Amino acid sequence: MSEELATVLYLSGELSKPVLLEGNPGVGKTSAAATLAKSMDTKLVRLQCYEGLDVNNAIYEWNYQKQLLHIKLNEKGEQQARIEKEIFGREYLLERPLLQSISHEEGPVVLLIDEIDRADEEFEAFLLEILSEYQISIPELGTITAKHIPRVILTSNRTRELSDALKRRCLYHWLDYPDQSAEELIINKSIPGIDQALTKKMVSMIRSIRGLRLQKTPGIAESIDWARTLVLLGQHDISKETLKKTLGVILKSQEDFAFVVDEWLEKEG
Amino acid sequence: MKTAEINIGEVTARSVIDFVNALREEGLIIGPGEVKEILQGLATGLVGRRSDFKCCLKSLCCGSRKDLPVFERLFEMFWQIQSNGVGSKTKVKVKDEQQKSSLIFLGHKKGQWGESEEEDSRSVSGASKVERLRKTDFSHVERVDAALLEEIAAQLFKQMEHRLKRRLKYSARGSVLNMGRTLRKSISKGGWPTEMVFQRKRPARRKLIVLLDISGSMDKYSHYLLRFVITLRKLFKNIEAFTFSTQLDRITPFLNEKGQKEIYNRMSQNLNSWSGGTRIGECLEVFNEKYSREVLTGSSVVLVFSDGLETGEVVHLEKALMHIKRRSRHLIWLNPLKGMKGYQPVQRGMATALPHLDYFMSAHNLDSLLKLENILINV
Repeated sequence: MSEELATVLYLSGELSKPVLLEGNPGVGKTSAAATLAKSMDTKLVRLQCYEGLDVNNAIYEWNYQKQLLHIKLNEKGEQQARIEKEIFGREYLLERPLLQSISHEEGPVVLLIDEIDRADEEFEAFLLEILSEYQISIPELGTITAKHIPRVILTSNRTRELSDALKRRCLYHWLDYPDQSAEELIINKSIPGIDQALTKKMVSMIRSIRGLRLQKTPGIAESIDWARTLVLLGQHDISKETLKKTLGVILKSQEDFAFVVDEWLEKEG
Repeated sequence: MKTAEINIGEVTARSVIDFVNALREEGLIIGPGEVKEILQGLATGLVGRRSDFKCCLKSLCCGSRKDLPVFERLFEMFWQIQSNGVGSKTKVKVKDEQQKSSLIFLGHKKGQWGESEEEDSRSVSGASKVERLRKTDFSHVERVDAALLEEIAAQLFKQMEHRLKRRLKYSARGSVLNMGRTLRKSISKGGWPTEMVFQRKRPARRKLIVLLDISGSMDKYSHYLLRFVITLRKLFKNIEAFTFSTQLDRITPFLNEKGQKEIYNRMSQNLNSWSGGTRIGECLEVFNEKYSREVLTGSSVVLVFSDGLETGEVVHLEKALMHIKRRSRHLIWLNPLKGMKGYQPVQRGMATALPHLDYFMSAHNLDSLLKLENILINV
C-alpha cells in the first residue's frame, strides 16, 4: 500500500470521515478495504451497489415470513397487542449491510460501499444522511445509533460523476496502478517462492501492456493470475511463445489479443 | 520542485485558509467544515513532513480526479511562497486569463445573409409564418426571423420536454405490490401470502450520449442543435455531451442556460483548428479511448449530430463507429444536410458511417428535430 493511501486511511480514522477511492478497474480499490479490515482485525461489511438498489436491500427488511408464522402460531390467543409488539422486535429484523455496520457491538467494522456510482442518485442522497449521522431510524423500533462509528470506504469506477455533497463528506483518493517495485512486492506476497527474475520481467511486461491502447487494461488480479499460470507451467523466462500461449490470462478481448500479438509483439521482438 | 520540510510554525490557520481560498477561486468546492477538519487533521501531527501535509490537504480539498492537477499546481506555488517567507498575506493569483466570449461562432455576421437565401426561405410553403419557420432550414433563416425562430424553438422544445416528462414519469413508477400474483401464489400456502410479489421496478432511464459536430461546415446549425441538447439535458439525467471538430471536448458540466456561454467560450478557443476541417473519426477514437469505458454501457443511446464531411482517414471513422455500435443500444446519426433537396449520403465519411447506424435522420429544421422525440420516448 502506498504511503499516501496509508495516510488517507489514517486520517479517515482520526476525523471519522469516509474515504472515497476512485481508480481504473483492477487497481485494488476493493482489496484496500479488505486489507484495512484485516489490519484492524475486524469484520468487513460489504455493500455492493447496483442500479435499482433500494432501502430493503441496503439497510433492513422485516422478516415477513417469520412474522406471519408467529401470528399463525398464536392465532388462538387474544393478546393482539403483545403479538404486534413481538413481531416488530429485533429478531424479526433482517439486517442488511448498512444496519449491520452500525449495530455491530464489538468495535468498529470496515464498511465497504462498492461501486457507489452504479447506485441511483436517490440512494446516494439517502446514503449521505447515514454517513453524516451514523444512525438509522426504523419506525417500529426507534432510532439505532452507532455504538462505534464504522470505517467507511466508498469505491467508484467513475461511470457517472458523484454528487458534490457526497464528495464533500469524503476524503478523496485517486488510486493508480502500482509502480514496478510495488507490484513485484504484491506478486511475491501472493505467490511465495516465485522466481525473482521472472517476477521482474513479467511485471515490466504487464506494465508496458497497460500503456497500450486496449479496450480492457489488465489489472493487478490479472498479473497475479498470470504469475500463477507461469509458475504452474514451470516457466523461468517469458519467451514469445509462452506469452502468446498465456496471453488469454491477461487480455479478455479478441481485439486486444490481436493487437498485442500482431503489433506489439512484432515491434518488441 | 521544492521539497524542503515545512516548518510547523509557519503553517497557521490563517495560511491554510488563504490556501483554501485560492483553491476556491479555481472552482474547487470546499466548505468551512472541511477547513475545520483540515486543521483537526493537522493537529494530529501530520505537518512534520511535506508529503503527509500535502496528502492531508489533498484528500480533504479534492473531490474528483480533475481537481488533482489544480491542487498540485497551487500547492507547489503557495507553500513555496509561504516557506520563502513572503508572508501569508500574499495572495496567489493564478486564475487563467479570462477568455473572451466570441460571437464568431454563431455565424450571424452582418451581411452574410444573401438575397438568394432570403428568396429561398420565402419560397417554402406553409400556412403561417410560424409554420413556415418550423420547416425552414436553419441555415436559411433570415436575420429578421432569427429572433422569432428562437422563440418558437424555445416554445416547441418546452412542449416536447413536457410531453416526454409526463410519459417518462408514468412509466417509471417504483415497486408496488402486485396483489393478483401475490394472491395466486398464496393458494399453495393455504391462503397465506408468505411470498409477496412486487411489480418490478422499471430499469432507470438509459444513458444518452450526444456528440455534436461544431466544425465550420456546421456553424449555422450548431447553435440550434446546442439549444436542443440543452433541452434534452433537462429530460435525461444521464446525459453526456461532447463537441468535436478537430478536437473532442466534454461539455456535460455546462449543459444549462448559464453554461451556454461557457460552451461558446470553449468553442471559440477551438476556432483556430477550423481550417483543419473535421476529423470525425479521430475525435470519435479519442472519445472511445478516454470516455467510452465510463459512459457507454450496453444500453446507452448515442446521438451524433454531424454533416459527415470527414477530412481525415475514413478507416478511423469506421473503426470508431463499430466500437460505439457494439457498446450501445442505438446509434443515431442526425445530418442537417439530409434536409437538402437531392442530398445523397455519398461523401466518403457519410457513406462509411451509414452501414453502422440504427437511424439516419435529418436535423436541418425544428420539425426534423422534433421527430427525434418518437425515438427518445422509447429510450
